[in-house]
Amino acid sequence: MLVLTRKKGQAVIIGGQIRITVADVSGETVRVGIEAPPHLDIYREEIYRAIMEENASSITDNKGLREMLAQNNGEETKKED
Amino acid sequence: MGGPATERVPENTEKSGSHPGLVVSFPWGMPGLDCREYILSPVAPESPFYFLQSAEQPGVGLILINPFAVFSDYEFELEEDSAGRLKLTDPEKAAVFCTVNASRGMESATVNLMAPIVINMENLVGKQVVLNDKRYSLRTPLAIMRKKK
Repeated sequence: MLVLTRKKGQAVIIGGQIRITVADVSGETVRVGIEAPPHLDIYREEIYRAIMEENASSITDNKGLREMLAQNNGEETKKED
Repeated sequence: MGGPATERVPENTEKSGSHPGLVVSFPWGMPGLDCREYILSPVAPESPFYFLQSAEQPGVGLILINPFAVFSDYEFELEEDSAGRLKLTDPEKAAVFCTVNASRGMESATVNLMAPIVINMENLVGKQVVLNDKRYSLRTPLAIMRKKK
């Protein structure tokens, strides 16, 4: 990992297209400003990872879908009783 | 960048999602999934459930739900940045779905209200967006939502 020291207001440029600016520093909190091309999505890492894991564990196939629907229909039938 | 949220997503999922087998592209992908092209179809007429089948990987699909059908209070403002990327100028053209995680069985199925999928039904481009709203969890039990209803 490349580690650089920057002061408030200073920036780094990545690939000539992405600019990350240190907007503010307060104690242990650093605010960064990010300018990047619109085709790139930007996430807080922990949120990206959580969504990635949730999406991955939600993946199913046609068989899984049929099983889910069968269980769901069963539940709805029960409620009607 | 980003800017204030302005565009309100209407509750029109049922109406616009009712065409069977629409090819929807996700140019920015979705975290944890490798595909960019999917086929969206309702599982049955009148059902709140939809299936998003990868057009590239046969075994890969996601069960989706029309969140408004089970969670009547659900609402969010689509960020200007996302609306712009989806080329969504008319909120009426947006359809909203949430992924269902039924991997632990239907009784403990959860819905991802925090990262809904927004599809522009005009150009059939979709994006999974992240809401900055503490009310909405990544794993909201489907059963609880149904009881509330």
